[in-house]
Amino acid sequence: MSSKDSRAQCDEQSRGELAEWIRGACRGDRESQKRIYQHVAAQVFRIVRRMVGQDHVDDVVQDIFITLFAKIKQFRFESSFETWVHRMAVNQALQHLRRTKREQVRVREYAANSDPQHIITNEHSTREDAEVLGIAMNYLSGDQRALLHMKEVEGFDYQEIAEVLGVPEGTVGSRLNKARSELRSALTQLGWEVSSQ
Amino acid sequence: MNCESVSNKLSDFMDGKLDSNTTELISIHVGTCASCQGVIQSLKRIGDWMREDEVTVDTEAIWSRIESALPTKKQTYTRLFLAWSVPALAVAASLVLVFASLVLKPYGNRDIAKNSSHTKHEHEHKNDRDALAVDFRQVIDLAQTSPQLAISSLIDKYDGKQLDAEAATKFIGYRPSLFDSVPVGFDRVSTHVLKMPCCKCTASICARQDGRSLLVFEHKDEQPVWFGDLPSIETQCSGTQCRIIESAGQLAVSWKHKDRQFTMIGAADLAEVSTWIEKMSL
Repeated sequence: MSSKDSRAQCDEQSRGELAEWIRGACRGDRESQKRIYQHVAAQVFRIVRRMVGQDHVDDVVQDIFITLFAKIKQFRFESSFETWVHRMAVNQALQHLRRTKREQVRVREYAANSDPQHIITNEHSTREDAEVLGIAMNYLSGDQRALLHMKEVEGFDYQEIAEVLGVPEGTVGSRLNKARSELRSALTQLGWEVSSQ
Repeated sequence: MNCESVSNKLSDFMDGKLDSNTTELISIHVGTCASCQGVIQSLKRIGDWMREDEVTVDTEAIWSRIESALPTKKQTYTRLFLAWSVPALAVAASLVLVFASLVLKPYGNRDIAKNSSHTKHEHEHKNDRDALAVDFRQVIDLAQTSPQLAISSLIDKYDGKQLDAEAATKFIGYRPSLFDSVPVGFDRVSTHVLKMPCCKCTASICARQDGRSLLVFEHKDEQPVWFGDLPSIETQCSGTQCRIIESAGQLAVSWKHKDRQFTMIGAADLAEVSTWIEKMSL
């Protein structure tokens, strides 16, 4: 289910139900915490995986939800809960990236070990596509990965992205343009050509 | 328009974020420019690729890990109170957990007593106390809406009535402390005597300057108070051991001073609790 579908479905549900879960989670009610988790877990997992990679996603997601439930009393119902959760997830994933300096390490590793001509062939398998995209994504910053994911995968509009990233809405367009351009350049460097797809 | 002037607008163009005039100009250029068409095609392909790259997530498996790492309900509130206690630490002498359960056990909640190991005699004594315990869960709920409602409920349940200082002193056999003083910033609105299971006690409504009220109960004999399953902590406020329960952002607190036991319902924070404890200790 896409993000938009999921959000539309959520809108159809009573927002009061979500508010009840939030209040329950504030009291430490385990069932309410689980409902909240089930409500946002897939989206959180997807964006965190995009930012930190498959190897680290489980650990980071776990930390995010432990933090989320510890801080849930700070949610003031003044903004979308999903946006609040995304902001927390992105910030925590960025912290993880800064802590491990994984970005630089992995880019160096790929630069040293990858043979673009070997990886990119005219007969892409899905697995190879994923690998190429993963390699190219590592050329982007964590912010850019989060930005592209929210736009391309989750279908967030500029305003929602701006709220998650804590930047003016007008900044989102220019950053998105830069991220797309850099990802395209990275893919091109890896031998990817749109015409071959 | 040429490719150079269009290139940094193609992303917004794809997202439909440009004004109609600019959109039209770029459309005209793109319609005749194979290079820009290629860029747009590749950007769209990247988006498709990212969506195709998504994997199915086993969120249940991760939940098991999260759940095992989450604090229990009681731990959650302990952490919460520790956070609240930061400003109160300036007032309170120190924070002592666990130790207090031994001190406050006589008027603590049932769960603590159940988990303790006792001799047969102690069990019997506990059971006696439990039989006399007053369930304050409903009082807490009502007090959140209106302390007056909570008092009315108690009056019905425990044959209560509102009395002045002289009549209350005669009725319960000692002079309730609140007739002599309440902390600065509070006014005693009314005092009611109640025939609780173990003894007679007083319940007073005290109003803050902003009109919000809280309840203060005063006993001379030990009156076990049960707060149900609401999580509690035992700590020191202003050098006095007390048990604190949080419900919907308000605190219920029990403490003992000399031969008096106090239970306050509706405190806003630990600083307020400390203020009351200090005043009642004078």
